[in-house]
This record gives sequence, C-alpha cells and structure tokens, in this order.
Amino acid sequence: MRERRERVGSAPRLRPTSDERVYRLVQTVFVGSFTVVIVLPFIHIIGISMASPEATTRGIDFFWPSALSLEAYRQVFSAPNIVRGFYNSLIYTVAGTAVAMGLTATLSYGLSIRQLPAHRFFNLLVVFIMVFNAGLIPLYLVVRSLGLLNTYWSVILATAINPFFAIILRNFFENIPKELHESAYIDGASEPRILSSVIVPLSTPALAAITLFYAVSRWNGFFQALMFINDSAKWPIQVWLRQMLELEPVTVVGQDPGQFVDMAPQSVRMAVVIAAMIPIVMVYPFLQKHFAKGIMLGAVKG
Amino acid sequence: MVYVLMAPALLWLLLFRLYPIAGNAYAFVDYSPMRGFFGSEWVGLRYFRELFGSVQLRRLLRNTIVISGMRLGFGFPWPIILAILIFDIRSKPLRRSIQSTVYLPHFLSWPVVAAVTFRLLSPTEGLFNVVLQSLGLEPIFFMTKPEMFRDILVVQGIWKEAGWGTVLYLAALSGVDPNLYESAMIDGASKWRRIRHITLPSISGTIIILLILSVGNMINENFQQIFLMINPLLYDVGDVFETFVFRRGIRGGQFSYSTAVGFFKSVVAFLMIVGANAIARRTRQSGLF
Repeated sequence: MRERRERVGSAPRLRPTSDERVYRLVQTVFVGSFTVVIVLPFIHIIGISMASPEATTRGIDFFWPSALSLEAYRQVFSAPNIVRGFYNSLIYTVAGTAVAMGLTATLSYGLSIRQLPAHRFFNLLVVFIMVFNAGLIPLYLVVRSLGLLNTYWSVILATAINPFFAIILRNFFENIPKELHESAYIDGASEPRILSSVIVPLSTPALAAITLFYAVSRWNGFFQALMFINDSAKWPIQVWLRQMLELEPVTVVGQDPGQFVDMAPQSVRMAVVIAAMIPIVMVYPFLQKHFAKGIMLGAVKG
Repeated sequence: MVYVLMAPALLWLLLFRLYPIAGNAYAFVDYSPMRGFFGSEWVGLRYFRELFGSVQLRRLLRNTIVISGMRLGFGFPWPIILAILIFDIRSKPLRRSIQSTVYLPHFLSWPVVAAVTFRLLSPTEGLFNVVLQSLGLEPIFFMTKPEMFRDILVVQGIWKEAGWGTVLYLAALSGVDPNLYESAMIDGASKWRRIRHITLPSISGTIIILLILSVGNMINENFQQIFLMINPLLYDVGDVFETFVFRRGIRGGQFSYSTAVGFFKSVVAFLMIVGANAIARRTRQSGLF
C-alpha cells in the first residue's frame, strides 16, 4: 500500500510511492534519451569538422576523430565561393529583414486601425494570402516578368511579408490604448510620425521578436535563391550547402581539385554545416526568450 | 493618410501574392515561350483532365497523404508526452537546459538538417553503418531504399520539430492551476491518475486545435525537407506536389501542366485549411484566425 505524510502549513510532501518511482524512471528514460538523440548528432558533426587530415586518411573515426585540427575550417574560410556565400547570406539577411520589417510593420499598423474604411477588407486580404498560395510557377513567372530573375531583389522581395507575423504584430498594435494615438493626432502629428514616435517605442518587444524571426528565416532560406538565381556568385551559404549534398566537394570548395589532396571532403562539408549554423546558435538565447512571448502575443488574441 | 503608410506593403501584396494567382491562367493555356502567354492557344481544362486521369496524380496524392499521415501519427504524440514529462522536472536549471536543447533544431535550416542526416546515414562513414559494419553486417545504402524513405522523413521531422511542439505544450501546461494537483495529491491520486485526469484535460484544448490544424495542413507537405532528401530512385514513394511542380515546371519548362498541378494543390490546400479552421472554431471558439 502507499504511504503518505502530510505537513501542515506547507505543500504535502510525499515519500516516493512505487508508481511515482516508476514515473521517475519513465521520465528519466524518455527525456534523457530524447535529449541525447538531439544532442549526439551535433557533437558528432562538430567532431568530424575538426578531424585532422591524418585522422581521416587513417580510417573511420567512429564518433569523434582521433586527432583534431582546424584545417577544415581553414579550407572553408579560404575558399572564395564559400566566403562569398556567407557574404551573400549576410546581405539577404540584413536587407531582407529590413525590407520585411518595414513592410510588415506599416501593414500591421494599418491593419490595427479599426476606424479605417476597408479595415475588414484588408484584414481578410491578409488572412486570405495566408491560406491561399498562388503557386510556385506563377510566382516564378511574376518575378521573371518583373525582370528580377537572377538578382538579389528577387530573394529579398519574394517572401518579404509573412502574414502570420503581420497578424501577430497587428494584435500587438491593437492593444495599444487608443488614447495615445488620439492625443498624438490631436497634437497635430501625422500618421508616420505617430507610428515612429509613439507606436514603435511602445512596441519594441514585439518588434524585436518579429525582427528576430524574420532574420532567422532569411538566414536559413535557400529555396527562393535556388529557384530565382542561377548566378552562383549570388548564392547564399545555404544553397552552397545544398549543392554540397549532391555534388562532389571538389566543385564547391575552390576550383582546383588539387586542393583536396590532403583533406577528406567530409570534414570540410561538416565545417560548412557548422559555420552555417553559428549565427543561429549565437542568437539562440534571444530567440527562445522572444519566441515564448511571440506565442503569447499571437495566440492569446487569436 | 494611413493608406500612404500601407501603400508599399499593399503594393507588395498585390504584386507578389495576388497577381501570381492570376498567373494560374497559364494552366489553361498551351504555353509556348516563343509565342508568349497571349500568343498561346487557350485549351481550357485540358491539362486538368489530363491530371485527373494520370498516374501522377494518384502517386502525388498518395505520397502526400501518407507522408503527412505518418508525420501526424508518429509525430503528434511526442511533444505532448515530452512536455508532460519535462514539466515535472523539479530542478529548474535542468528543466530549462533540456528545453533549450530540444528546441534548437527547430531553428536550423533544412539544408543543415539534411546534411546532418546524410552524414549519419552515409554508407561509408555514417554512424549507423559504422556500427553495423563493426558488428560484421553489410552496410545499408539508406538513400536508395524506397521502403525506408518515408520513415527517414518522419524521424527527421520529429528530430527537428518535436522541440517546438514541446515548448508550446509546456506553455499550455504552465497555465494549469497548481491547486488542482495539490488537491488531487491530498485525495490520494497517483501520478498517472493525476496526469490522466488533470493534466491531459487541461491541455486538451490546445491539443485538439493543433490536431485539427495539422490535419488541415496535411496537403502542405513539407516541401523543402523532401526536396533536399529526395533522389530519382525515391520518386515513387516521396514525390509530392511541389517537388513535382518544381522539377517539371521550373527545371523542365513544362509550364502549363505543372501550373495545373500546382493550382489544383493550392485550391485543395485552401479548402482543407479553411475547413479545419472552421471546425476548430466550432469546438473551441477560437481558431488560427
């Protein structure tokens, strides 16, 4: 039979019952193995990326290389196309996020103003584009007809506004008391002024969160670039990563096959993977903090 | 005045989201690049008729439904289970660090995840095969085996996204009144009973909504994931609408037919999502929108 002991005045403290012990066991096993399964591949990849040339020529290193070196990273960061890829990713991320935020913030602000004629219409419109996707080919054809194929703008513009984020921002803006808006208006401020001087400062947490989400999405994006851009000089790092998945690394890192005499491709590939991950990992603490907020903002008002 | 502010965004919506919808007109035309759109012959529903009778539609539909179904079936319960288990971890720092760890893959790009997967499954150097070989067994060429492809996709998807679901459910769990647990404990309810009668019902709302929305989203297969992982050997089990459209349309130049395929899929997806949301609304008074 179970045993219990209760202390008056504080939360009841139970001596572990048998089913609680079973539960703890299940908990440890499940959560533990899940965490391990998530973490192991990372450790493995990091290890392989740091395998020294001697270690890799010697044979299969099971999980962690027998000798470490940063040679793979040296190769990666001295390869012109990879470096260019990072540079491009930076451009797509910074410009893409700036454009996305500019468009989304203004849109959401407009959507949040209930007195606006056609308020319902615009809101429905945004919801509509969230659920109806025009399709890959039509988008491609539009980009082509705008003459944007093979340009940076095609990627920056193709997915500029994420309607889901726009709605989150709109909900946030709707919660700003109307009085603030009105008093600024009465004081003679124009709408852009109201937005920049009143709304934006009040919304920094939401804006920061959405900016972060856009930035991550831009850095991670590969498909638009693949679809719209043929000029490899404009490819972001993610596209190079994808090319690596299919082609021999010889064609990816450097032009001279001779460069690969000493280095096994795997360590170089993994070094590119790790390098592509680094920015995300670096902002990860902020991502976590803001994501929780983001859910709350978006979900509560629904 | 506000319109001026909104103008660029609205222009963007028009150009990049609404105008392309009109672009589906290509599906009704026998498009020839030489003659251009207006010079090409109008063929009405020909390509749609072709699509509906085709082997391709059956295959694409089957793969999409099966893959999404497997994802739902195997992937849906895990975040719930994990969230319940993690929620109970007494040590706050431990709980926090586990949360952070399992959540990371969600923020990685698909090329990164695909690269890691290929590495793990590599016939010569992948972890699985190295273990097999050390046991004296033959290595498995995972990416050539159609029967394994869907499983690989599902596991990969869980690896990447379970953490995200877990965080969602953890948020829902933190909204549950702790007094309920305490009174249950005082009344002598065991751990499992508490889970069954307090925890699960409390988050049932979240669960149902997510389930309904996931079903509604079923036809929107995770295109990027499949695109990166697939190869011609696996088309029969893994080819889905958008991989097909991309390959035949953008790479292959068969604009009209693939536009028809894409349009078909967009319409079905639209109906499913709206339908699912309507159902979700009815059950819980709230939906995604």
